[in-house]
Amino acid sequence: MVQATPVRRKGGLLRWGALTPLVLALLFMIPVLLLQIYLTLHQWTAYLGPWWSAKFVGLEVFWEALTEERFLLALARSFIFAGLSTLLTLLLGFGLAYLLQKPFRGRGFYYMIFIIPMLTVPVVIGFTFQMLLYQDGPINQILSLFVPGDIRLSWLGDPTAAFASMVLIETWNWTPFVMIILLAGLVSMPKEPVEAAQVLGASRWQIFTQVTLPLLKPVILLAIILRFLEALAEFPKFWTITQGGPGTATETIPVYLYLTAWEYANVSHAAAMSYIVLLLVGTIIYFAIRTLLRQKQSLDVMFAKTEG
Amino acid sequence: MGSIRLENLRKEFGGGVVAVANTNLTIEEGEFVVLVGPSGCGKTTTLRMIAGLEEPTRGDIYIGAVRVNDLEPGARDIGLVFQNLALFPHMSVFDNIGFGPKMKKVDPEERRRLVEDVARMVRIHPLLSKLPGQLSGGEAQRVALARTLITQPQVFLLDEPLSNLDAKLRKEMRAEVDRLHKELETTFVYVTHDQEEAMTLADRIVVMRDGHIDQVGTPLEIYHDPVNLFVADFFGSPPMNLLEGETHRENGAPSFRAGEFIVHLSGSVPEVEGPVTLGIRPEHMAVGDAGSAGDKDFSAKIVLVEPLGKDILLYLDYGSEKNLIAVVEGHRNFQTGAAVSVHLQQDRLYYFGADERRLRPAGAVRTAS
Amino acid sequence: MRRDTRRKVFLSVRHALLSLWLLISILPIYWMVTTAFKLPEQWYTWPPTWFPSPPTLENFYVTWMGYQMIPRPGVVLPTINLDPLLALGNSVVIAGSATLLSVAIGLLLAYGVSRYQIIPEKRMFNLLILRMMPPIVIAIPLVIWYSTLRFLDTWHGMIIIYTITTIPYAAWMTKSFIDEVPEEMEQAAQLLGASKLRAFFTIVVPLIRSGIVATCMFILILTWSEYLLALVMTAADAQTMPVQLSKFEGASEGRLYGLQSAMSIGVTIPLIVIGILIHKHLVRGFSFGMIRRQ
Repeated sequence: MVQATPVRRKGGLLRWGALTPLVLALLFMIPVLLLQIYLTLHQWTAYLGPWWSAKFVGLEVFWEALTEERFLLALARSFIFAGLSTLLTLLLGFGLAYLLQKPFRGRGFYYMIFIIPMLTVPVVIGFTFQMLLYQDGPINQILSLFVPGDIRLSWLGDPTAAFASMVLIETWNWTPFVMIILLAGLVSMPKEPVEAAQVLGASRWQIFTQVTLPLLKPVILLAIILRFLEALAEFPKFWTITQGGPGTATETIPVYLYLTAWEYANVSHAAAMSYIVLLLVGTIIYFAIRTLLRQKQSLDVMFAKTEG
Repeated sequence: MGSIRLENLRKEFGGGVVAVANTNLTIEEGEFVVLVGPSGCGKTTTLRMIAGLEEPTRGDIYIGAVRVNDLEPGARDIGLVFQNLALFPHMSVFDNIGFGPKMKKVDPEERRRLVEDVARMVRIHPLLSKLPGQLSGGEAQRVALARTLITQPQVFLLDEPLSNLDAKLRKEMRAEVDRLHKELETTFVYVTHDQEEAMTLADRIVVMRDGHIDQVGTPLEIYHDPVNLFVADFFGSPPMNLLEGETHRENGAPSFRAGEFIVHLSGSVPEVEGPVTLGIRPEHMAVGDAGSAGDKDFSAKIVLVEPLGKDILLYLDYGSEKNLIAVVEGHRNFQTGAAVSVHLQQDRLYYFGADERRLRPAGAVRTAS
Repeated sequence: MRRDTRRKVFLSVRHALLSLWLLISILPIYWMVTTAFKLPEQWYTWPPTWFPSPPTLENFYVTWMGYQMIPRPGVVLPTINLDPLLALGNSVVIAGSATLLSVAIGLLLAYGVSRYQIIPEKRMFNLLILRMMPPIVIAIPLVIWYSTLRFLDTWHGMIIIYTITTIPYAAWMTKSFIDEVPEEMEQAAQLLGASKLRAFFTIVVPLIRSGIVATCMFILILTWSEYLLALVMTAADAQTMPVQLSKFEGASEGRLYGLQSAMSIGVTIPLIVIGILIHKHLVRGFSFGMIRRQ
């Protein structure tokens, strides 16, 4: 006998079950955003009283933050850090993925070892590299092998060297991340277009630029976007190794923000800066997601099955 | 120019898998040769070795009398159409077709002219700005052809190009391929598992099985003069009827027996006594009502009548587990369950020994007549 | 060059390059592990000590079991009492609970989007906004909000925020597994009388069991390693391991490499092991549907 129950098109119970936690989470976070705006518009120094008794100052704090030199420098450092490390991880990660794309004996072993840096807890990475970069440490020792005389670079004591070190450490940490994304992309690429290009007389370089790279564009963009945004947010390694020093040589946004709020206790200033960063990064993210969506759509068109 | 020679070609894959075993083959310039056989027989591997996408374990490949073993695929002056077409999904149809000339650094004006000419030749001119993902199966097929045509290679290789198309489209494209071959007069090497396709298109057919070539010949030779059971069974739709039994000679009169079943044999019969597989094609059997006048070799009962329009297929039970299939004209009237008499065209009988090789009667060569 | 000669050259170059990166990848880990077994005299020597001789377990006893360190010339003793075992327990509870919650919610969400389009896939991309924003940016108001709720330095406080920030990953990762199961299977089950939920639990979930496990491990790695939020939102009761470890540095004015390394091993080796176990599935955690499986 056919039961005449109404057909719930959109999933009914499931919909409620799945979306409720999401809605709750969003509701939970709304006060956070409201507080953020409130703090930006009020002058509050933590030890002078509870936050709801802070003085309203309008956009004064906001404007101060926007024009503060230390803040802008920190922004610049963050972007340079993120840009350089993303570039390096992209090149290295692509190279590794390219070398690993065809199966060979031992490939799995390489893969497993290569992902270790990305699995290591960032604080641990911080400590370990502190040890390695110590003036009398192994890195200087290894470098001394290639150069007559001893190298005793103070990696973390010299401002430029410290910044460079952070970029390199970040690269070490996250190259595997880019590698596994690009490798998955390379491996899932259909190989017949490459063979067709071979037969049509394309050189290896031409095949690479005309066929492989365009087909990998979505994956490459994904890796770049994810990596860049995460590099902007990087905190544990900076805080563990240099705390923004020497001086302010490695003071990136997260470091400066943390210092302002928790060590200088200038909460409003920190809130205002956070807000600016939120707007800035939010814009970047907006465009990033739009790009990713567009890539996904073009992927769907490209690989649509033709009727047989 | 355009001829192909394979000498002692062998391809082994890891794990001892032999895809192609010691193959020798010569293809004349301008021929349309079809490599045909069941999956795994080595036909695609052979094609890919000619193309340079697989490296032979042993042996030599000559294209146009030049040894090409060390040449990259792009340097062999060949065109290759893949089974799944392998169009560049991110490029327009125009860029797909123009890819070859672009690689050879043909200047853009000339390239545009070439692309449009070829596009017109395969009738896809209006599609030039589309992406492969927006094309239908047949259209994509033509683009793949155009992409290889434009480079004017001396040899065309096609790897089951039509197997992803539906039946009607396949027949249309088959005619298209045939037309192209006649127009271009270039060597075509075509791989398929479809025997009908092989029969229609080929100048010569190469039948492959388990990495070996069983037989090479024109379609008619393959059809009428198969060298073994496999070739005989593979070609023909409906397939050849095969009866297992023994030949006997009593006082010089040969006969074929399988249990209670007896057929007296006349015509040229191989000088063999013992186990034999008898083959007769459905179209070489005459079926009449039981008790009608005319020659009769044995009786049978109709178990299924399959009208096909032009012909009728009759499934006949002659006393064995397997049924025989006979083809009769479409206007005749037969009922399931009826008893009929069957007459076999004696000069159309095939004999296969226990080793599955064809036994030929002394001195006789089977022709198409 | 002949084709096969070129192939041989390529193979050796590849081998060389990969081995080079192998060494680079391993060196820091190697250094950390061996230093944990070094006596203080060997912590900062020139030339550096590559292999502890003799190896010792003293560092482990001091950091993990609360033993006192033997006074030595030139080595400053730690001045703060740390409690790694408490931090370990906190990490286990917080990270573990957040993982289970996050995956459960993410799974349901993924199923809803994949099969019933309860929200279009495009909207699910927007979840990533949450994830991509640098945590520091919301850290300040978050701390104040938590302090008002009295959620600071609590298990439940940390679990909630960790769950919220990892749901996007959990959802996208499980969705990629669900998408690989053909819808026809559940539809067949439904035609035979199963309800949607029943079909889900009896057909889909068993098929993606290993995927769910991989997702759990992935989220576990993320929550366990998290530093910034734990730093600002925990003090004594709910402090997690990464924070504890960093406090260690602050506590000792010298550089107590051996003790540091001994603690680091406990913090990071389990994650490395977990990561290697699920290495085949790692990529799914962040491909967000952009990589087609062949």
